[in-house]
Amino acid sequence: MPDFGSPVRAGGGFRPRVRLLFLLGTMSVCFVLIAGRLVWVQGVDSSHYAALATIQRERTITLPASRGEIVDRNGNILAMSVDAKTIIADPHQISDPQAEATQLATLLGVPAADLVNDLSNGSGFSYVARQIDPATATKIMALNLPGITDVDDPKREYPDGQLAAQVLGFVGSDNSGLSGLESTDNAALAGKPGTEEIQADPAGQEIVSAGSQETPPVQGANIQLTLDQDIQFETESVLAQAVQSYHASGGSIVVMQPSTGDVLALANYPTFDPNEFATATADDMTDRAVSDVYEPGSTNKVITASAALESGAVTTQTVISVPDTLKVAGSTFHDAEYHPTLDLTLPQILEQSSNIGTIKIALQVGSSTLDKYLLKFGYGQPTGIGLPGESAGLLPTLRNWSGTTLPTTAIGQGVAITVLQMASVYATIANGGIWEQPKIVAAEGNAAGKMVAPPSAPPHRVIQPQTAKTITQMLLQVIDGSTGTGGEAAIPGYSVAGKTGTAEKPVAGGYSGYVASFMGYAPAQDPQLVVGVVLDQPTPIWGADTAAPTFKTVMQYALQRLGIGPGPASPAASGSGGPPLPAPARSGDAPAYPLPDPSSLPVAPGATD
Amino acid sequence: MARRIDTREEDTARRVRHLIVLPGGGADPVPEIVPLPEPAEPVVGSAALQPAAVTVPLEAPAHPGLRLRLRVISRTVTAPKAPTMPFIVFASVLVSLAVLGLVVLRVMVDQASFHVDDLSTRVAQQQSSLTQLNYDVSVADAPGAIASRAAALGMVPATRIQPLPTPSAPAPAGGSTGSAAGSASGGGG
Repeated sequence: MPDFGSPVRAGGGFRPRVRLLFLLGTMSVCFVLIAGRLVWVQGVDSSHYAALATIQRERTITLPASRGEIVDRNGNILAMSVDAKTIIADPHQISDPQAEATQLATLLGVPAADLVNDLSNGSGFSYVARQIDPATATKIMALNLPGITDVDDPKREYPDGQLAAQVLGFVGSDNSGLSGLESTDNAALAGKPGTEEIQADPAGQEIVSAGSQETPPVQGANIQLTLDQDIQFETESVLAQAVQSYHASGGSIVVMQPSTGDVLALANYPTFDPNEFATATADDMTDRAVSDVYEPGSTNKVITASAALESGAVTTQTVISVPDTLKVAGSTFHDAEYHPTLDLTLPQILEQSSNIGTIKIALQVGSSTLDKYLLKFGYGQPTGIGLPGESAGLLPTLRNWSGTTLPTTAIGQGVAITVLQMASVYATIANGGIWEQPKIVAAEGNAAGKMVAPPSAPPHRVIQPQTAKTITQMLLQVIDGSTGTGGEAAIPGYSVAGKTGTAEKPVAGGYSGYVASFMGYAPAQDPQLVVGVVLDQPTPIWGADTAAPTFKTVMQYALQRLGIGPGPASPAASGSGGPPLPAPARSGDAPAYPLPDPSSLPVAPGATD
Repeated sequence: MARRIDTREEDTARRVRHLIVLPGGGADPVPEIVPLPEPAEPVVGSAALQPAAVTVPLEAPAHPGLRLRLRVISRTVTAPKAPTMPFIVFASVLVSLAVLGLVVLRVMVDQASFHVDDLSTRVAQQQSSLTQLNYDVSVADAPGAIASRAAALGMVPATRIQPLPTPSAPAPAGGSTGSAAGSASGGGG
């Protein structure tokens, strides 16, 4: 029987049983610790360690979504994304920046000295080259340079350069729209990036055989515009030529289809190339036709005439005595040119663009009626075309009208609208009095991949068809009449209805400079196209001399481009399509027209032609 | 008095039962051995190796008052060892073939993965080339590019274009957009 009495043996040291017990205890403690750790790692904190393991092994690659294309009404590409690669560097992994820079510089076509800093800036990330073509990127990656890698980085391209630049806008380096339709329709165009989860080895190389889990990207939707690429190009070319020829500071032209509201061209000058938007100024990028307002001047007189006819204040036969000056509410208004007192009808007043005649008619119409028709034609509210920064224009509320508001508004001063709004006014008359919302986006791709038209405001009637027809008759006389101001807009073989406008330009504290404009449509008996031209501070100042010939060039091209024939003979010439217009009635011994050169006469206030 | 315990034969082919009658109550210390009954049918195979009853002598209980209990014990009869080498060889070959098959299959799958990856890369490259070509076509097809090329070739824009009226019937008013309308009116283009 062993003696357990003392743990210490006689010769020193512990007895075996004690040692065993001690060892057992030690091992038990170790086991408990290990077991506890095991429970902790496998049970309590398992998700954390699983995540760590996943991070070490798995990589998530973002699959960029291809941005949708923007095409014109005929499918011509106006904006598209092309594949590109961005070369990035991890300077921590680069031991010889100079050598790598030398190799990269050869392929990138940049000085090696420019790259050395990028490769040795001490950070863990730097761009070497952004959005280069994939072929060059492949050559770079074939060099197997340490710390150099590439990533997909699609690049937005505009094949037509500056064509419709303000309409299209541009995107930033992150492929997010910054202006134009690229901005307003960014959600639809951008799509949704996908992801690919891959297994990677410690060196970061994909383990191809391990498979991957891919969530494919949702490609951006395409957008089809109402623009016609050729008409847009010609319009921009003509506008640029007009601005330069007439030494204007800028201008805008809108081409519309009155029956649908489709905008076929929307040109602004100055303009820019969205491929190089970084070099453009804010003025270049402004979509003047929808963002900038101007006082329309005489082109506004069709609204006064419409209100007069609709309200019954006057008829086309009503003769009005028109002096060359008129005092209203303490202010004296002038016609653009001196003339003796004339007896004019409404068509003649419009043909000769008489300010005084228009004001006298407006006085019979009254403020509330004129205000009502201004609102019905869309003044003071954006058209809702869907372009960013659209202005509502400036229209004083009726209760704020002063004694001079009625006469100034009647001749298109004291109110401000955009070129698009004014083109829409003429489109309404051309469309038989029915307002159609101007449209720039014809269709957008939906989730099912089909192109569908975006919702638009329903059309509504503004004036009666007979009123619209009568106004058209008057506008024909503006072009074809012997005393009409719009003779420069006449197109051989076609009947053109239109109106010139020359308005003073408001500046802080008064007026300075002029805005020349012409609004018209053709063929007059069955209007297919409306063209609105506005030139900012041209020389000469008159719309009849600058905007009207510009209108003619654009309209003529658009008619030919769309294959629109002249149609039946002009109703004004044939007598069909409406009541015959009365012959001009002159008062007293007034001299026959033409009157003296208008450019030699003072024009104020409300100088309109 | 010795007790006789009846046992049932359940599996005589696999078991040999030993019926031992132990003295009960300490009255008769000598155990009585009761031979097992003969199997009803001859047993074949390894089960035929039925051993004879084994008698285990018991010592007299140290304590006469102690009551002995009976229990049935059994012993599995093992068959004589068959030659195992063929089986081992067969199993080894089978396992080797299975492992080899799996390795070959895995290699093929991996090769296919690389092939698929290679094809995917080529598809992406082709897609990229297609996009680039579309872009190049769009650039060349842009009105500005065409106008510049035309000007370089000495062409000038037509300035005097007039529609030709048809004497038989008036041209359609306006017509629709498109080249068809243009040809119908005679003023297109």
